Amino acid sequence: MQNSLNNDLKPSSYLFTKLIFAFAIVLASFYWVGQLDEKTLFPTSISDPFTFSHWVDNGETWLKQNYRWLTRMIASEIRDVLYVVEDFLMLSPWLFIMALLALIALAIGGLRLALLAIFSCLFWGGVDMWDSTMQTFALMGISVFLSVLIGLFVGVMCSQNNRLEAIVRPVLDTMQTMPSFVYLIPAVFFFGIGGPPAIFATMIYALPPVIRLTNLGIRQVSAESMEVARSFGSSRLQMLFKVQLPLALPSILMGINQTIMMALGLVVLATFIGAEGLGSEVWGAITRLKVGWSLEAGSCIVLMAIMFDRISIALGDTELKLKPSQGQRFYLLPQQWDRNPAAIFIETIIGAVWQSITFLFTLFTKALAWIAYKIVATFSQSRASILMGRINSSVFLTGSIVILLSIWLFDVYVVNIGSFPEVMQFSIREPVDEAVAWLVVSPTFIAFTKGLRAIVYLYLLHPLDIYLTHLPWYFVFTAFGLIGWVSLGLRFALTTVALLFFIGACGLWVSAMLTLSSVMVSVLLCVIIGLPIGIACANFPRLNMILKPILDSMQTMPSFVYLIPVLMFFGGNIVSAVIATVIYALPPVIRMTTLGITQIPESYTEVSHMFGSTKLQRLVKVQLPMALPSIMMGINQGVMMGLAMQVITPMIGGGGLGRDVFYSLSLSNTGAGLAAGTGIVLLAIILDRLSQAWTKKQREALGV
Amino acid sequence: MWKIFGPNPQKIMDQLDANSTREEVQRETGHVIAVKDVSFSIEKGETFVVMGLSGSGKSTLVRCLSRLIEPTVGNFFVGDKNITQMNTKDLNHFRRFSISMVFQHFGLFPHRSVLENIAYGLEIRGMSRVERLGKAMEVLELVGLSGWENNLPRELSGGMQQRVGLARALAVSPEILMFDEPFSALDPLIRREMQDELLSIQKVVKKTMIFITHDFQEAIKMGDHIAIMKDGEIVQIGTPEEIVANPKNEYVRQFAEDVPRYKVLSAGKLMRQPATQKTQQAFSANPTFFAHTSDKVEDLLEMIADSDAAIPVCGEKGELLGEIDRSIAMHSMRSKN
Ligand SMILES: Nc1ncnc2c1ncn2[C@@H]1O[C@H](COP(=O)(O)OP(=O)(O)O)[C@@H](O)[C@H]1O
Ligand SMILES: [Mg+2]
Repeated sequence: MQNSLNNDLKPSSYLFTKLIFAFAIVLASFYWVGQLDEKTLFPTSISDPFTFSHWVDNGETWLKQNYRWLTRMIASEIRDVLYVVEDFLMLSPWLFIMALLALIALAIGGLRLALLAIFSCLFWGGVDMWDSTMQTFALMGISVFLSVLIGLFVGVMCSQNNRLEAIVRPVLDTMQTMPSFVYLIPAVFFFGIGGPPAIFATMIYALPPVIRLTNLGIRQVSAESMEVARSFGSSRLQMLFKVQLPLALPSILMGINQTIMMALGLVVLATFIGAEGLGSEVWGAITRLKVGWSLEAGSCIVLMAIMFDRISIALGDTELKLKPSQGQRFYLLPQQWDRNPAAIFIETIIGAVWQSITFLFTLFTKALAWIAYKIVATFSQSRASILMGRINSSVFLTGSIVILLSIWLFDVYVVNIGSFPEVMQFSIREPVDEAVAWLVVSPTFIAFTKGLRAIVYLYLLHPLDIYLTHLPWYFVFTAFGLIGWVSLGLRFALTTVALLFFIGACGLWVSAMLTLSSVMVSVLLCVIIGLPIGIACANFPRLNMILKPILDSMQTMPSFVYLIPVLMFFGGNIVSAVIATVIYALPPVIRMTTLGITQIPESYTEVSHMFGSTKLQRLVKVQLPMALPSIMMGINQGVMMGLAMQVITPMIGGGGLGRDVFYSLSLSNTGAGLAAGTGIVLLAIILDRLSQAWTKKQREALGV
Repeated sequence: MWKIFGPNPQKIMDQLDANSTREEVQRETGHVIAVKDVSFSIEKGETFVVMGLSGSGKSTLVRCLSRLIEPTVGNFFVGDKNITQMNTKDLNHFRRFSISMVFQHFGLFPHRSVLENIAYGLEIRGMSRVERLGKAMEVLELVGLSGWENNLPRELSGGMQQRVGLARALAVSPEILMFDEPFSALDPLIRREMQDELLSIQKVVKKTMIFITHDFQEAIKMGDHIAIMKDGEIVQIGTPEEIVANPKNEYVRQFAEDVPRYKVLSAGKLMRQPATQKTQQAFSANPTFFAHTSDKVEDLLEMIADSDAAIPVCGEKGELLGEIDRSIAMHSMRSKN
């Protein structure tokens, strides 16, 4: 046993020597680069004639001249739909919308979700962002609808056709390594600015999960079920609709959940191409440095994210949660709180309200069913009783229709409900602003932030920036080429070099190195912070229990939101950008570390117990090496998220390629934006493949 | 009929050496001969059992009949229709109306209620909802599951699940019912109960049945005819009695040994021929006291036990053919002979 353990550990200690060797080379080159005093530029003889952005701009002009009618037409179609939906959402009485949302939440996820929906609505109205929220809703609704529609279709096609799947799969892989922001550029290219390009970009960006999970779900349907269906003579279509799709439904719904969350992430960013909504509120607040305002808007987004997430997850739960007849007690809070009298009091009230609503619903339904029965019975007795049965069995639907209808009638014929009443509005802007103002002048706080900024900047960011920008380009080429060669083979090495060449030729060399540097620093900090937390979580289940829901909700929040607290405490500068990136990319690192350690088979830890290792020895000699593949995977995800964040951090002072994208976009400089965006994507592809190859090697070495 | 699994079955088929065994072919070419030159005919309304150990090609054989697996070579006729030559449309029609199958692991659709599972075949035909659910309800009662119609399959026990499987197959009123080891996944007690129930249902519906099993006892119990398979080939076909009385080779004998012969064999197979003088006299003295050749020994045990003399055995027309006595009966109760 011990022997096999030793064997298992060998590859990583081998790796360790290699790492030390590599480190030595880097140090040496560091010294050497320190002697150089100028930034190395990519040879202008290559980058000058390679005017990628001009070609793109020319292409755009050409497209505009020749196909403008087409894109205009599509854009105007989308715009028409958008206006209809927006009008419906914004002009309907707010009570109507709230009731609609709450009832949908109730039907899908039960009373708790309904309460969440009501709370969210009151918050949106309360902070006076009802209209912005509705605009975001409209954008979301249309893009998700299109995404799901197209995704289902493509996913089903892929599941039926292996060749198509083989083509689509790498496309999806590439799409998922691209930062969301990059999708906005071609959208602007084709559709100009405003709602239509936002919808278009979101639709494309959010497409992969539905396709993937539809395809997967259908392919996972057991061969036995298919055989049974065939044995009864099902045609291919019958098979699809009666067996495959229903059985794939949980998987498809999971895909839709992911799609919705991705869509929300991009829809709020689409403010940069002129789409109105909560995103513009955040952006407006950030540009004016209004912390309270941005916090309000950010909270609106977070509430929306949580609501969408919970509702779409609840959709996938097969068991029906809505059973009006059940006399069970209602629990809003965790059941451990049961002894707290206040909790019981609240729950009892809500429970009573719920019971009486249920009673009213049933009463309404019975009455309605009876009336319908009487009317139809004059024509046909049998049909009347069927109808009565139907109505009676759908208490909920009937009740909902009655409620919605009465709100609408009340609005039209009695009193105009209109928009959210001002008396119910509140604002957290001033208190937050004051609190922040108070905080940022406190000397301890200043010392803390200043210190942190200084450490990150002086000891990490600045030296690395200098190093990477001063390092001759051919050195970087060689380094990446070699690493690529060792990890994935010659073909990948050549591809890497070609991709780097493209970045250089576009004249983006310095920006790319700055991006690389800030991602590296962010990920390094992520590891320094995340690894210990992950280890702690693995060893203290209670800590894990507390952190898990926090990490879960962090991962459902759009990246945009992360800028707000950072801006609040650290202001806008390059270190803030790094801090925002670290916070954003932290969850996967923590998660995968915990996962990797908890997944180690019992037998290994037992062996080390047997040999009397201390906790620390066990951690260093058994747990960490065994968990390495998982940790690497977490770091890989961290890198990808860090890169994705690069396009957003320029809003609070980030630099590099992200800033190029950001400013080209705001100047609608399609060519330059596309070039810089492509640069980020290429970096993402290189880093992704490399770290995946490493993870795989580690896995194989450990035989897991 | 033949079925060869592998990348190029046709080529193997053409080059096949008549004498090479399944192992040799597999070793040399990587192709598996799952069904090898099998032919048989089944009477309308009878139960035809295919019995063999696991891996002998039974499942492949029945699936070739309904073309869930395409046979490499061979034909399957139902009446004068050649199923193997049918195009997809006709084949689907055949599967929808004429044949249905019960599966070893039940194969119930987890997303459909019991009733909807039973109605699946009818739904595929395009029958209206009311009509098909009504029909499914009838069959549900036939298999004794009333009251469970709205449950999901996973809420039922194994035995009940297979009842649903059976009901689903019966619901389409097919000419032919196929069973692929339907009771193998069940506990022995439940299995016996299901066998009896299937027999009693068969008395009512009188379908042509093809029944697969790896259990010789079950084969004897259910089958009018039995085909014994080994390595893709049929070793012997016959009635249970023929097989137990005259096993063709050592392989079949090993199975036959395990069954008590008196339960399977009839007086006609075991009687001493011709009858002794004494029995002839007793028969002419009392011509109403005799056994038929077709009577199973098991059913004559009382009679034999109560009579010290041998019992006369007569043919169809009442002619005296032989006699049976305690010694013969006792010998037949030993399982090995
Ligand atoms: N799809 C397949 N591909 C290759 N070999 C198969 C396939 N299906 C069955 N076989 C082989 O054919 C033989 C017969 O299998 P099967 O008909 O399932 O036997 P049984 O039902 O009698 O247990 C086995 O040796 C099995 O390994
Ligand atoms: Mg089988």
